[in-house]
Amino acid sequence: MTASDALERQVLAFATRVSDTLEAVLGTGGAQLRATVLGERFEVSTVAARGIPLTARGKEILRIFVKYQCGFDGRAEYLAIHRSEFHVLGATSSEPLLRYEYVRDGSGDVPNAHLQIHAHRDAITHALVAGGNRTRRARRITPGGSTLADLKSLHLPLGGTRFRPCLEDVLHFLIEEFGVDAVDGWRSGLDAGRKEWRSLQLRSAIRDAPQIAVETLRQLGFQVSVPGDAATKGSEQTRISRRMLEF
Amino acid sequence: MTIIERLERDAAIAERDALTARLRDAVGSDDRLALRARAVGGGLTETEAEVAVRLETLDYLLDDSV
Repeated sequence: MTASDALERQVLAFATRVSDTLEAVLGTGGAQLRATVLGERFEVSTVAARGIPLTARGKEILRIFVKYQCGFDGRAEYLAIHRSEFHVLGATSSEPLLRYEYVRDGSGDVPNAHLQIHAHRDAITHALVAGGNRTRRARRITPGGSTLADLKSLHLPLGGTRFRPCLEDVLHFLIEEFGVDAVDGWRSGLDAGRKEWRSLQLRSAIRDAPQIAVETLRQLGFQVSVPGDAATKGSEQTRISRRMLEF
Repeated sequence: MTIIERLERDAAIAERDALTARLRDAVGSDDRLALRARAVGGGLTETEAEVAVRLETLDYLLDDSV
């Protein structure tokens, strides 16, 4: 199997997982997603820029746009999501209501995983305008700054790379809070997707901080042996990846 | 169900150039941050938004810097 074949299999597997979740929860049917591949990168997104319709009592009330941009991580071993977007839009407006976004290697002054709410609240505007100027972003919003002091300019943190919400979480929220129509058995479809996502994230978190995993397993009564040279083990096992510490 | 589209680099570059010119003519800018701001602000027509989304796709796939 060539590298190209291997990538195509990964693309298909990833796209199928997303497609299966949408189908199992919303019963969307048909060709709703596009996977675009070039070299060792690919993007999976809903075909329409305004996403797919979400109904309640049979009538469209919202839309959701989904996009993942993926490639291999630094060691070229694991598929990495470089960017993801889950945008919730109103049925008639092209401006999103909510934007769940993730940028793997972001600028550092906004959370890599964040939520932006496109709404207005006077009290937020007041607090932003009255705020300090310690950071670059805060200076952008204070009087004389370049950014409007509004709620949508805020990037609300969502737990960083490892602990950010997945598509299943957003769909679950829309079903619970907006009463979005879902197919019979939607909860098991969500749980299956969420289990797969969180298992992957947990494995990555363990690689980020193996010593914590070892300590926890020992507390649970497991006997864990650490392979390799002791000195190397010491530094490697106590290492905590920057992924665990990111904003 | 998913449509798989496999791009060749030269064709992707040509498509990006054509879309960039088209968007510059339509909205007066090909600045990606400005386009992004207009797109999420609801300031693009549906056709323009489709072009902007495609440009983001091509920019990502053609970017060797990340």
